[in-house]
Formats: sequence, C-alpha cells, structure tokens
Amino acid sequence: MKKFSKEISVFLFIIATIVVVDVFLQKTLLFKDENVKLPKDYSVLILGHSHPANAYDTNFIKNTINMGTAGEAYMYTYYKAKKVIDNNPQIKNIYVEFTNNQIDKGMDNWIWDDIHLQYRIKDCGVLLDYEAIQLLYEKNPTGFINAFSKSLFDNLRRLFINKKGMVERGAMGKFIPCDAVYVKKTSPDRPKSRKIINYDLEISEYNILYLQKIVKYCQNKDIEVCLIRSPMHKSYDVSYTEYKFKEILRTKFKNIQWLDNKDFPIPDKGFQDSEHLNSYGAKIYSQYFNKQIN
Amino acid sequence: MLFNSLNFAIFLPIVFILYWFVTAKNLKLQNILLLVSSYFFYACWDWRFLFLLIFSTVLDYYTGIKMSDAKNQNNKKFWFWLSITINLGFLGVFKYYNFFAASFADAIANFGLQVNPWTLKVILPVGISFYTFHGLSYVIDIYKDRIKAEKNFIDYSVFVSFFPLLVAGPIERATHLLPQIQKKRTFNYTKAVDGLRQILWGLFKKIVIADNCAEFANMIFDNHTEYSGSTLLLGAVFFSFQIYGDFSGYSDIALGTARLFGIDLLRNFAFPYFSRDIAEFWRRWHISLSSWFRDYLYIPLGGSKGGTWPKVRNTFIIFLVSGFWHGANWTFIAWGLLNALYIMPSIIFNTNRNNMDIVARGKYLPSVKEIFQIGLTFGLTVLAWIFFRADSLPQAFEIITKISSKSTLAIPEFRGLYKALVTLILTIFFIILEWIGRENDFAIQKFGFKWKRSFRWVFYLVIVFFIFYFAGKEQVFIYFNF
Repeated sequence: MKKFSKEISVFLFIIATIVVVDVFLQKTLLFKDENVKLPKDYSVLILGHSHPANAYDTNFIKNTINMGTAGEAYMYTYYKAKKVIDNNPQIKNIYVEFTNNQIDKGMDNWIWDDIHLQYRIKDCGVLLDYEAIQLLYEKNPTGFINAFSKSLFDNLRRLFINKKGMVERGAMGKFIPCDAVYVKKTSPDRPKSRKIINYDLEISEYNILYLQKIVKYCQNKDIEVCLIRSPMHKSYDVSYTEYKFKEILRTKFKNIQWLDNKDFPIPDKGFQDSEHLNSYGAKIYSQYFNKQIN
Repeated sequence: MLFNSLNFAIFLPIVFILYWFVTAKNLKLQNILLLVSSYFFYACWDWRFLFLLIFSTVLDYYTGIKMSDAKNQNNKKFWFWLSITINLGFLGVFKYYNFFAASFADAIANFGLQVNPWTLKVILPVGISFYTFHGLSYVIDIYKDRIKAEKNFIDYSVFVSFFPLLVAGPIERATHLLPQIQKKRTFNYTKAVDGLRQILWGLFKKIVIADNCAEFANMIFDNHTEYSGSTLLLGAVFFSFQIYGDFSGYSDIALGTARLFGIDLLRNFAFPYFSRDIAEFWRRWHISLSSWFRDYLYIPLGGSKGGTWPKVRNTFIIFLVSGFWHGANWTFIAWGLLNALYIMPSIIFNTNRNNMDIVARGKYLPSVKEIFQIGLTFGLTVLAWIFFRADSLPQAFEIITKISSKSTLAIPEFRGLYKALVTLILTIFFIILEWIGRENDFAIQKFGFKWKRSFRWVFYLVIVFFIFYFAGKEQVFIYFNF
C-alpha cells in the first residue's frame, strides 16, 4: 500500500506540477504586465463584442485602442479590461458597447457554453479569478475542464512568441475590417440571437452583472465610462427588446453616460449584415465617432 | 454519478481511503462501507429509485432463503416463481409497459379501431436491467441447487449493488462475486496498479473515442435525410466505435475500480472488432450478458442438444430476447434478429467454434485471409448497428437504402470535416493500441512493460493528455438507457 500511495502521489504531483507551471508561465510570460502596457498617448479604450470590433476603425480614431472581440461576454471583457486598466494609468475614457442582444438570457451561453469557453479560456483564462472559475465550473464543469486543459497546451506555443505590446497589436481584441456588403431583405431581419432566446425576454443576469462590474471598476479608477450603441441597419428589429433594454439602462446604469448611435446614418452599402458594419461603414462611423469624443 | 465526472473522481478516492485505511481490519465493516457507498452512488442519480433497488434486493434475498429452507419441491417452486414474476414484473412495468401498450394500440388500429393506451409517465430506473439480472441468476442458481442461499444480508446486498457494476454491469454471478465478498481482502499492489491502468484506458475509450465519435454519429443519424450514402456509412462506422468505446470503456472503468477494492469482476469485452466471424464476435462482445443468456435461457431451452432445428430455434430465441433486453423498440428486436441470421450459417454447419483463440496470436500482423474475415465481420456488425442506433425501423431502412445507392461512392460531406478527421486519426491510434494489446485483458495492460518505468509513465501522461485535450462533448453512457 505504501508503494502504491507513493506512486499515485508522485504521478498526481507530476500532473499538478505541469498544470501549475503552465498557468504560472502563462501568467508571468504571456500576460506579464509589461506585455499589456500601452504607449502613453493611448487614453481611450473600446470594449465589447463583434459590433465594436467591426465598427471602430482605430486608424480614424485618435489615441484609441479597440479591444472588441466577437462573441465575448462581459465577464471576459471585465477581466481583460482590469488587466489593461491596471497597467495603463493614462487611460481616461472607456466606451463599452451595449446592444439589445446583450441583455438576453441567451448571452449566458456566451459565458459558459462549450464553444465560447474554448475560445475565451484560451484567450484570457489565466486572468480569471476564483469567483469566475467557480461560476464556470458550476455551470459547465466538463466544458470548463476541457477548455482549460486545451488552453494549457495551446498557449504553450504562444509563450514563445514575443508578446510585447500585445494589446496594441490586437492580441486582446481589435478592429476587424470586413468587405462583405449586406444584401437587404424584403422582410425585416431578426437578430441572430433570437434563435436561442426566450420570447418572454428572460434576462442574462450574469452578463448585466459583469457589465456593472466593468462600470464600477472604471469608476473606482476614476475613468470615465460610457455605454455606447453603434449603428445598426434599419431592418434590424429591436422593437421587442427595446423596452426592457431601456429599462435596464434606466435602472442599472442610471448615472452612466449613454451614447446611442444606433440610428447614425450609414448607407446600406456600409453594412456587412443588419447588425455589423463593414470597412466602408466603419470608416464613415469612426470618423464621426472621432469628432464625437474629441 | 458518472464514472467520467469530477464527482466520481472525488468519491472514488474517499471510498478507497476509508476502505483500506479505516475498515481494512474488519470485513463486515468493509462490506457495510461498500454497501453504503453503492447506495450513495446510486442515489446521486435518483434517490427515489433506491427504494426499488432495495426492494428487489430484499425480495431475492428473502425468496432465496425460503427456497433453500423449502421442505418440498412445490414450496420451493412457489418462492422461485414469486421472485421471477415480481422481478420480471418490475422490468416489464418500468421498461416495456409503454412499448406494449403503444404496439397494442398500433395493432388494433390496423383493424380500424382507435384506442388511447394508458401510458406510464415514468423514467427508466438506471441499471434496472442489470440488477434484475443479478437477482434472477441468483434465484435460478438456488432453485437449480447450484448454490446455497446467502444468509448475510449485507454480503448479498453488496453482490447486487456493488457500485462499479450497479448501473451498467458486467452482469455478475453469485458463484463468482459472492465468495469474493465473503472473503477477507488484502491490498494487492499489482492488482491495484492494473486497476488504475484499466480505469485510464476506459476513460480514454469513453472520453476520447466514444464522445468524439458520438458527435458525428448523432449529427449524421439525426439528419440522415440530408446526407449521401457515403456519409451515412461513415456515420454508422462512427457509431460502431462510439458504442464500443462507450460500453467497453464503462466496463473497463468498472473492472478497474473493482480491482482497486481487491475484487475481480467478469470480463465484458475481449477485442470484439478483431473477430473473424459473428460467433466469435458474440463471444467477445458484452460477454457477461451473452453468457447469462447462454446459461439461463439457451441451455434450459435445450441448447445445442436435439439436432439442428432445435439449435436454430434456440439461437433465434436468445438473439430476439437479447435484442429486446436492450430496449423496448422494434429496432432492437430487428438488431437481434439480424445477428441471429448472421450467426445461423455457422450454427447450421457447426462452424461456430472455429475461431476460439485471439486472432494472430504471437504475430505482429494478421494473414490476408484474417484481414478479409475481420473486415467482413466488422462490416456486418456495422450494418446491424444501424438498426440499433436508428430511432425507428423505417429510418434504419432509409439509411440502408441510401448506403446501397450510388451516393456511397461520393466523398462524404458534412459539417466539421476537420474535427471528424482528427477523430478518425484518434480512432486509428486507438485501433493500433488495441491490436498491440489484444492478447491481454485490456489493451494497455502490459503496454511498455519492457520499458524503463519513466518511459512508461510518460506514456500514461500522454494518455492523460489525450483524455483532457481531445475530450469530446460529454455524452451519457449508452447502456444507462438499458
């Protein structure tokens, strides 16, 4: 029994050591403070999901970093933003994209379903704290363990790539140009998220909670935070969520600046679909946004 | 509680430590611990059905004693039939009632009459087919005077409910398991390490092979109308490896876990996909069930005595019953019937015992003839699995019709081709390891024994890495449904 216990302990210790060393290397090498430092003149951050990633062309917006990432729930945005904010005291303004689909219960899937976990844990898993890990484990234990183990091995390769300036080079989200042009349909488009949402509009408490956390964290750091809605095509139907959306804005973010550019006039050829701008639309909108904030 | 869950990863070491460090000196305490742990394990799934399990245990324990104490044959017969009737009655109600009610309604509808059958809205208690068969074998053995009734209720309860085999077998025999429960167990290093190796290999089979294959098998079978014959054939192959990885993986974990507690369970799989004919396949697939049917149904029916036709009849009966045991659906009956047809030539021409030893023993590769035989047997098995997996007979026939069409010559096309390719590569890796280890109880039992220990450990770490890195989307064990 002694020999058995010893061997089991050694074997488990080897596995545990591999995991701990890997996480440590990721924390210290991949996400080390130096790697997420921005040049002093960058003072504006744009955060959020695919809408800002497609809408804010930072070539036309002064001193701004776009950290928008497709399919990213606010929980992950929160931990990424925390890391960047902590290491860049020059940041004075943060714009967080807040669109109608973000209130929907379906957004919970963006936090813990298998597919999103695979990407998010790989991108920023080591930035999560105990609370987030506990939530993910509680909601999808196998998905989380699987994504975490995959990230351990996938990120090993990234450790050997020079990650200095990773934020400005877009490793934590960036402007994604797209040349596709939206072909307008005769019937109004339904948001994609409709497929997974409940029609009685159940709210994703977790997504809203983490948006609140982003806001609070920024406020604590004396950073001016603003929620923003980028342009959407007129065929994009928000009517069935708008009431609830506005109610959440009123109740949960009542003293927060709200910039609604949903109806900003972008020609049809400036959209890649009813929700997202293409490169052409992004250029028009970014020029406008630059004037709006500067 | 699933074997491939974190809950089990916590549960198992706790029970192991209590078993060997706290209760090791007292056999009675050890057995009580096993019983309590087993009931806890079962209750994690649904505590309400624990009462059914306990009732079934008490029934067989009590009727067993009554049979042993019976003063005359009539009295013995009474207790025997009471136990059989109640056991099969429970199985019938929970597993087959809805099937019979719906089938009856369908049959009546053919005569233009409409009936709304009263169906039960109950879920199938997990493991009912397995623990009922444990109990049945026990009372039949007592009735036939093969064994004496067990007087110790705890020991008997552990025999029925021992957690590694409780929900999906192997289906144990009192003659094999009860003496091990009654005997003092001492820790055996070799056995325990072997058990861990078998658990590791079982997890690999389940999590890497079965769960990944399941993703594609499910997608292709659930949307069979959209796919070409070649894709459907590939789907059937994926399912063949899914069910093998799933069930033999479960059995490996069960056997390995039992070994940690110093108990040997019956072997359930012996590399069935390397079989050279269907008879050999059935000696290697779900062995504990096949041998159960052989001993408690085939032989009592007359077995192979009395000439060819009784043998043919008895073979058809056990395959039909075996199909029906798997589930209340015509697809399982068709699967059983098809396997009976497959095996019939060898029964008629007395060639069913031609291939008793493992293929190519002591050789690296099989002969061309053996490759052909293995390929043909595997092909027939894949065809039969289509019935097993299909939701209905029409669906199975639609799939087979498509596979028989020209579209089978087209390149398979479906979503996730890259991942499917990775799954195929993993499956090939798996087949190679299974081939290398085919002369052992499980593939990696003696793998790397001639290597330095450090190299062998690297191999185990690689398997652990595969389990975590290539884990497929979690699927419930298929045999939990039976």
